[in-house]
Amino acid sequence: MSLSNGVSLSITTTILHSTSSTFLPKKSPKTSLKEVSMTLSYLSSFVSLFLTRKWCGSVGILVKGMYELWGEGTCYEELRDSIESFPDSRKLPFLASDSTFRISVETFGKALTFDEQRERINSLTYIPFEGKVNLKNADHNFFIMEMDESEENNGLQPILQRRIFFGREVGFADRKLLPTFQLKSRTYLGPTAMDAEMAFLMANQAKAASGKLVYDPFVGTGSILVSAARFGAMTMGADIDIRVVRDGRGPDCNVWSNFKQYGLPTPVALLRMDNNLPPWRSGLNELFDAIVCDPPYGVRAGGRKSGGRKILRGTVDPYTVPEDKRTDHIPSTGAYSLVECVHDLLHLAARMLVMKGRLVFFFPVLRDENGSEVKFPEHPCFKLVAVSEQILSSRYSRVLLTMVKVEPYSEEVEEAARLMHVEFRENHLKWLEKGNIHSSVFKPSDPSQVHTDSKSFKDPKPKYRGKYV
Amino acid sequence: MRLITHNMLSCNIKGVTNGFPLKIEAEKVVEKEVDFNPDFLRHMFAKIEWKALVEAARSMGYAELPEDSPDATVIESADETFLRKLHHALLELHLEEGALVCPETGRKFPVNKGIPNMLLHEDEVKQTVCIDLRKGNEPTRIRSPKDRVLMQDVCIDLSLQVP
Repeated sequence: MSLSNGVSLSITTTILHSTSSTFLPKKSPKTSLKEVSMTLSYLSSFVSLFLTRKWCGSVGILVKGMYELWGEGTCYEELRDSIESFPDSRKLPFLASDSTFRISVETFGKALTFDEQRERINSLTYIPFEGKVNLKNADHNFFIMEMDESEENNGLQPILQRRIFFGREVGFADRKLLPTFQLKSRTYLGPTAMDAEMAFLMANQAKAASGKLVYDPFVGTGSILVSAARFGAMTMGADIDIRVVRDGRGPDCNVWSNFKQYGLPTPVALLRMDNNLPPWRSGLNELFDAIVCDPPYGVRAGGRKSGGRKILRGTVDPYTVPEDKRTDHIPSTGAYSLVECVHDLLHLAARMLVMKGRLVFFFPVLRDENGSEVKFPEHPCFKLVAVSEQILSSRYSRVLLTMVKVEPYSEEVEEAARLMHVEFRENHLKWLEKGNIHSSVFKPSDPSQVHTDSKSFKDPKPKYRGKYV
Repeated sequence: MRLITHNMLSCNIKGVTNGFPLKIEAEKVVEKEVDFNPDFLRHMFAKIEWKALVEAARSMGYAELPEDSPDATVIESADETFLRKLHHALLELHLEEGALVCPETGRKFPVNKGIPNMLLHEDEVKQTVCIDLRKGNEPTRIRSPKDRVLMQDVCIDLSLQVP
């Protein structure tokens, strides 16, 4: 990675901003999104910028920091030459006698003892620091960053040449958010609550910010909305399961308490509704700035929609509930396949997102060894801007799709979308038959271990033993 | 449930054409303070059905909103009196317990602990019936997986929606 002094470069704030619709380069199966992103966050932090003001916390969550590069080299002599050739006009304002400063040493791939760090800091005597040192809260933070050559290490890419950088910090991401918001300490959790870092990533992808309205049609315990609210957005959520949304686990353990726990404004609205039959009034459109969600994949928590399963199949005619039983009746719900669910989501987003609004959601995929093209759901109103894979197991992963609305919604568009959906479902069904996602997750991966004895022969499609609402 | 939500909802029972606005039957109304955010209010103002909002606010006990929707100059102006009233009506009035009533059918959607239940009962859900053009004019209900596959083939040929 070659960098030039003082020249501005575009920053890869997160690796999720890849503009091509391909998977990340293949790494060993053990690598998770988190590891790869941490690598790149360290690497991308070594970027130079023309910034004079500090950006705190408004940077994407994966960026460790942004630094103005003052010098670089393969050894400390080269570093010295490089820093000395950096224009004084850019250095002196930050070395003034009335300011405080701090120099830290960061290493990548190794650890230095305190003495070794001090030795490096002391080698910088040629820089005319006039101010006082303040280790707690300095005006200017400087960093020496050192990387040695290394082989490919635990999935991280090899480093070919030793490099040392010296820079002034101009911005950083508030990584302290992660321990504060981690799920371990959250009051109300469910089986599908989104991990805090991932929720912040999704909120970043959706560009959640103050003054925006973010909607989650599968809100559950509200984990994604909490992160969006932390970035200042107004939030709104809906779910078909009323127990999760309204009751939670008690008056102090529900979706509202999750927000109160962090001092965040509670959602503008929480609704119980069916995304398949939404109750929006007909004139309503272009309301939300972003839709961020994690639709049910049908593996651990399947989606549901209105109408009991026997009704939907036609085995039983729709029945009328007698008047006296109506008030407490919980309507039965039927199976809601992933494909239909995503189609309804795209339809909702096409209608209810403002122009240039963002739709961010997860979609499960089977990991194919020969890397054949996996088709993602499409809609004529949307342009896919990012695809980011999170590997969950050797056979199964999920991709975070980020789409931007580029076309306004209309009747013609809806027609075209429906045809796309039919075609997508065709392909999806064929793909499902080849390798059922459910069985990929739950069955043993080595078929030779399964007994062929007729008594213990298992049904090829494992029966869903969870709860039906 | 806030009035901003109420302004978005309508009754979607099959066959209903005039399901908006839902009448509010208020049993318990609570006022909760919310931070004033004028940008958000300006953005939302464009999307609100004014008459419905005024009527709904009145049924919750707040009659300060003007009858006619004010024009853009009032919203954009620095004077915040109108925006404050809007803020109070939209975000600070909560319907904790009560019901939303469909103006056409009278169907009640209950509101409990501030959350409206918009789920339809079994007989209110649209049921699609397939017309198999190959067998004549008899509508065929899908009863078995085999029927479904048959229907899918027909529907894809004709680019119709499969139920």
